[in-house]
Amino acid sequence: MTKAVVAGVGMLPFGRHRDKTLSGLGAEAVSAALSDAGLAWRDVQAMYCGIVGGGMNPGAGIGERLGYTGLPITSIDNASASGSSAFREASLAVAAGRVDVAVAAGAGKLSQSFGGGSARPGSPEEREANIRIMQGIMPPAGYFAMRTRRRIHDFGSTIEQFALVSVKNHKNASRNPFAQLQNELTVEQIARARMIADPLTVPHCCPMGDGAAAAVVVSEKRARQLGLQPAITVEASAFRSGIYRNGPPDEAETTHLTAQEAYAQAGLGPDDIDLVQVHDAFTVEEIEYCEQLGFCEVGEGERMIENGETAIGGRIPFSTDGGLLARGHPLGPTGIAQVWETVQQLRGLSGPRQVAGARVGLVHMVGVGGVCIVHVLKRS
Amino acid sequence: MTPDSGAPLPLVDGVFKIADGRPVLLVSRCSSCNERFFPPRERCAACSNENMQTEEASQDGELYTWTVVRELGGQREGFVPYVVGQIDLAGGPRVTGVVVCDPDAPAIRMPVRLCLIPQGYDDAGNELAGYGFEPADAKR
Repeated sequence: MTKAVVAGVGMLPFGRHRDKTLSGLGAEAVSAALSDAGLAWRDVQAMYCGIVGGGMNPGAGIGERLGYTGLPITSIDNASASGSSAFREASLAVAAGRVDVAVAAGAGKLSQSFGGGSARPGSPEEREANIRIMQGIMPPAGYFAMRTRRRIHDFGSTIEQFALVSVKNHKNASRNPFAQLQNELTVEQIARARMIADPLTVPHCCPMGDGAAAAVVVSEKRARQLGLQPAITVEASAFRSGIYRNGPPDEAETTHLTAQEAYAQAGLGPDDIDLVQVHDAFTVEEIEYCEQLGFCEVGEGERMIENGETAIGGRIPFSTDGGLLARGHPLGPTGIAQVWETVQQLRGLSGPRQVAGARVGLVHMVGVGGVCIVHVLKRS
Repeated sequence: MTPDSGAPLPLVDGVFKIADGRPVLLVSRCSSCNERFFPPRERCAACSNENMQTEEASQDGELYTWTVVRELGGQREGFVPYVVGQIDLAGGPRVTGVVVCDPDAPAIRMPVRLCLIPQGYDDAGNELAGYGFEPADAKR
C-alpha cells in the first residue's frame, strides 16, 4: 500500500463554454492538470471521469481527443458527487499499487445539455452532429454489418456460417429460463428474417430489453468465515481501451491485448479455460473474439462454430446462457449476467446447459468507446 | 461567406471545401508521425502530438466495406434504405460516408468519388451541402 499524492491540478473557468463540447472541455482540463504536474498524456495509466449525462461512455470521448494509448478509462455518473467519485477511484487505484499515475477528470455542460435536448444552432454539438450525418447515420448493426461484409471478403466465409452463432446461442438460451429469447432458430429462418443492415437480419443482432444482475465480492478471509465451498476466485481483471497501431483501434485487436493481460495476471492460457462468455451482440463477434482470445488462429473462427467447438459439449463452449444474442443485452447488467452464468457453471448448477467439469471461466465484454474488460474466474 | 454563383455552402466549416462543384476533404496530418485523419483533429490519435497540419485528400477512392441501412431507430420508412461505406481514398486515409447508389450496386473495391449531397438551407436561405460518395462511373 502507498499513499496517493496530488501531483497536478487543472481547470477551466466555470460559466459558459458554448464553443466547446463536453469531451473537449474535459480534455482541456486534463491537459492543464498534466502540464501542472509536468507529465504527459502517455504517462497516464488510468483515468476516471465524472460526468452526468453526456451519452454512453463520455469519458472515452475525452480519451479519444487526447490519443489512443490503451489506458483503462472509467465513466462515473454519481450525480453531484461524480467528480468526487472519480477522484476517489483515482486515489484508490494509486493507493492500491495498481498504477503510478491516475487522472480524475470531471466535465459538465449544463448550459445546453441538462435533461437532453437537441443541439443549439451554431454550437459545436451541432457541428459534430452534422459530421455524423455526412458519415452516414447508422444503427450499431450498421457498423457490425460492414465488419461482417469485410470479413466475408477477406476470408471467403458465408453469412450462413455467422448465422450458426445465433443458432447455437438460441439453443443454449432455450435451456435458460433467465434468457430473453428462448426460442430455437434455424439457419433458414435467420436468412428469411427482416434485414436490418445488409447482410445482417434481426437474429444476427442482439435484442433490446430490460434486466438486472448483481454480484457480491468478499475477501478470502471473509470467504473462509462464510465457509464458501467451492470458492470462486477472480484470477484476473484486465481493462483496456483501444491503442492506435495500423489505424483507429477496433474491438478485435483490443480484445487480443486485454486477453493477453488477463492470461498473464492469472498465470493461465487459453488451454486452461473451460468456458467463455463474450460480447456477442452481433454474430461476427464470436467468430472474431474466438480467434483474438487465443482459441484458434485468425481465419479459423468460422471453422470453430461449424464444427461445434464453441457449443456446449464442444472444445470451448461460448455463451452458454445464450449470450447477448439470445439471453439479451440491457447494457448495464449484461456483464454481471455473464459473471452469474459463469459462477453457476463453475458451481456445477447449470442443469441442462452444464459444461461438464468446468473449473475456469473467461468473461469478456467490449463497449462504446472501444473499451474491453476480461475477467477470469476459477473454482478452487 | 456570401455565395455569388449559387454554389452551395459546406454544411460544416473546416471539414471539407467545395471546388468545381465537388467536395475536397480536409485531412489532418501529424507533423511527428505522419498519420492522417479525417475528420480533422487537433491532436494526433496515434502519438498524441499537438502539431497537426491540414492537407487536401484525393477525391477518388475505393470501397473498403459497406452496408445498406434498412432500419433506423425502429423506423423503416423515410430516408432508408441508404448505403454507407468505408472508403479508402487514394493516398489515404479511410473515411466513412454515404454512398449515393442503388442498394444492389456496391461491391468491395468498387471505385468511388466524392460528390455533394444537398443538406437543406441555412437561416439566410443559402443552399447547404455535405460530402458523400458516388460510383466513379456515375453520370454527372
